[in-house]
Amino acid sequence: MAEGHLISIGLLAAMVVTAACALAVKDLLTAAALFGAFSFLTATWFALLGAVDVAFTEACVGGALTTILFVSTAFRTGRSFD
Amino acid sequence: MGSSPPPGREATRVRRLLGAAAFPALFLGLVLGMAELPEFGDPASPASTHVSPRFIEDAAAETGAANMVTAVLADYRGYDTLGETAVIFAAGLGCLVILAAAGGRPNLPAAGMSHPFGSVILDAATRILVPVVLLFAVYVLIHGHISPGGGFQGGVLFGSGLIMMRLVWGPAREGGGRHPDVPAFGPSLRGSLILACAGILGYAGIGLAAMAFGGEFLNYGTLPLGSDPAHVRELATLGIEAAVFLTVAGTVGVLFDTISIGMRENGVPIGSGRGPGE
Repeated sequence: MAEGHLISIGLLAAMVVTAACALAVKDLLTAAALFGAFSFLTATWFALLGAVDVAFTEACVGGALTTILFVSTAFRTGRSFD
Repeated sequence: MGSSPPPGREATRVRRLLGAAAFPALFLGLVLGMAELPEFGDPASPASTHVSPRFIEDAAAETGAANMVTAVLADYRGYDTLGETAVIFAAGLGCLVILAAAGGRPNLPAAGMSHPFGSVILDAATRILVPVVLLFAVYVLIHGHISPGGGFQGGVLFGSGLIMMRLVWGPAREGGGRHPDVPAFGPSLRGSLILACAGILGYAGIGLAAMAFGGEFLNYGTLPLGSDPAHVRELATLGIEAAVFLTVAGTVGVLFDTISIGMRENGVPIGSGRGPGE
């Protein structure tokens, strides 16, 4: 249980860091990649909690699909945000 | 707002201070609220004592699905899932209407990326990966009764496989892809749209068929698919999952194709005047 707690805390801390970085960076392509990393951390955490179906969906949709759509949109609208 | 100094820096500072005060308050409130929640996995918590035992005990016998998540999503709460599927379909349609009109190229079959990201390495990797991804998507759909998965995840995986082909080989064209030796794989934008429509209509159709045979909307037990009610429900659930699969895969194709209309075309994206490489 203690080890599970440690992994949880590590994952949650990494999620906060990636989310803050995604908001802070100016380059939209970097932000999209950071959102992808955030989604994979979320999926790992869901799997750790035993919600395997939700984790699977999050990995597919958040990690793969929305990242692709964000990158496409970034290419369409211009890459920099200011 | 009622004070005399002109709006501008002063107003911005006030707003920032308000934000700086509101954030810790909200954070503290959420943390205190979290402390009141029951321990994770507590068998005495309301979530574990209210309706969960009913589903855990009876779902497998009633619906023939060992994966209770699938039983709840596609059978007990099939009406909710129909609504979710319709929302996804509507999102794809909205994207199509807005972006295809803004791009000025509502030419459906030829939409999509105008140039592929072609290279030998990408080409070889895609040739190996895409068949595996597409096959795994169908496995996830069919195996959703027993293991985690189902129509939604399978549909997204299938759509991702289609997008991978689009990225490397360019859009599906009438009469062949970019290379003469690479045929045009994957549905066109119109094909994706037809897939999505077929999915959502199939879902509603299964519900209506249940009504036609004397049950309620989406109550599959009355369908004439056999004598064992659990087996009938299992088959109908698979049909529902396949409908969700088609809707999601088609919508993913529509979303990617409409967002990438004219992508890298002349290097001038719509709306900003900046090139993609800047």
